[in-house]
Amino acid sequence: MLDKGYLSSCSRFNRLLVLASLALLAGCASSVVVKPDIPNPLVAKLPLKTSLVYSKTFKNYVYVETEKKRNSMKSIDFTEAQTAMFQQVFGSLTSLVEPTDPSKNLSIEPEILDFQYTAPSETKLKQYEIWIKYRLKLRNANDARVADWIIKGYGKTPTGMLTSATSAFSAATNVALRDVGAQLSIRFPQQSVVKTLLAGGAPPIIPEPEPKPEPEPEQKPELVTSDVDAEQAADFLDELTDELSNELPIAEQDEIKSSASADDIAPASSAENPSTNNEGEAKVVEIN
Amino acid sequence: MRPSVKLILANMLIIVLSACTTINVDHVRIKETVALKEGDAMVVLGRHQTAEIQTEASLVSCIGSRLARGTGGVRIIPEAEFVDAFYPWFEARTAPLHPKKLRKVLNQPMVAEKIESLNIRYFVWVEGSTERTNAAGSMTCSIGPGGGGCFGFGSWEDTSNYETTIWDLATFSEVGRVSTEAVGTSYMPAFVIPIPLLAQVEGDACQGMGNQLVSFFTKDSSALETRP
Repeated sequence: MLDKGYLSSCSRFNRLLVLASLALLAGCASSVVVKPDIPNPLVAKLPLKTSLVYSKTFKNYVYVETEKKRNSMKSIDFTEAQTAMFQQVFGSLTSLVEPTDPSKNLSIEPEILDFQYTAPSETKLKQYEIWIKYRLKLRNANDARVADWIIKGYGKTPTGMLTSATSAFSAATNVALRDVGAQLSIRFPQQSVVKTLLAGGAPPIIPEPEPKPEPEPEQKPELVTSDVDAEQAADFLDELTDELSNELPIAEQDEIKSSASADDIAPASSAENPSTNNEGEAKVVEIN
Repeated sequence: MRPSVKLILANMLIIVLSACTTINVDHVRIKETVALKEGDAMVVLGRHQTAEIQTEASLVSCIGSRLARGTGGVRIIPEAEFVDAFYPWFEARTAPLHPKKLRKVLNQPMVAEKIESLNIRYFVWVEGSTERTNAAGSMTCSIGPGGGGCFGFGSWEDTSNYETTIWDLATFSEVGRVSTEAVGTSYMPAFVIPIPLLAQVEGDACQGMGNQLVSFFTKDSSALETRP
């Protein structure tokens, strides 16, 4: 017959085991909130006044993972971090004014086109990776469209012994945002729209894109979900890039081609970043 | 037993139980004279421009520490501090890959001014990584209310491959290069308790490379090859 003490110690052990299992399961998927960690760019301020416009979709963007097979992250909210990045970058490059300020030269509206991630369990690489793709809509003082820029950021964080997935995803997102900010900081003064404005001219107005059909009722624009598994991730953004390239007006693509010629940035291999592809880079990416 | 004796015994045990690493260090001195004076600063930076190239921050920091100790009055600026201070010019994808590109970066007056105010004379770029190249054996661990234990034997091989390039800001040219290859096998026999016999491959690579860089900058070039 088992004595009471043994039973009590067994049940305590089982309880601890259940608690440990729950803790482990809880650690599998987590909600990540990214805090901004981007330094002020060391760049010269241009004599331009710009305003940043954030849509409701942009301000409320949260990536939510719905693919059941992918359990390294539940959701990631980097709204604060990305807003801080755009504020810091454009605040260093130009003088930021309110969107209603009549003296503004440009208004810039960022839009998230895509967000992707991979975890070490999916790629067998010892790193967490993040890809973010933005479209920046540029309008002149009269609110007429003058350019659309596509910009992509890539960030990775090596796995460490004591690094949790939450902190690794957070760090990788900040690296990706730093990447976007770095490209913007370096490339912004080289863009034809900016050069024209600095020379006192008026950049040519480009036609507004045709309105897209209404989304299906189940599609929520502010809630981006992943329908691809990790193996498809490499192709996903390339397809998106091609689609986007078809949507953009010819004049705009020409401008993009000419502005993608600067050579002082390290080339990013397609293996490194699913969103980069040599052809895609030349055609679509204005600031990359 | 006195604590200091215990510490010595523990250290001796670690040394005896450590696995071995084989290191190969190759070095090329491109410029004969290396002008480094007290008050000068140096930056040690890791390359991260692609997913394949992810130089460990721990190695970069280790090389920086060795250089700081070995070169005396020279100040080594930590990587993270430098990259943040010069954002966006030395990020993973924007960092210059050649000295000529560095000259272009320094054409930015704000960057040049800051470099000058920090007295930075040399850039040391570290590229490479330590990878697991082989693993064998198996181990079984079990745990129950009565206790637990592990049985088996495992071994694995780690290989470090690093190349360090030294740029001189006075001439915007490469003045030296140090390459290191380190291979080490770690063992883990387990009879109830696993006993890890670890090869410190990355640490040994850092030691080899760090020593060579110190001799490069302190003009102890007896072992260094000079390129015509």
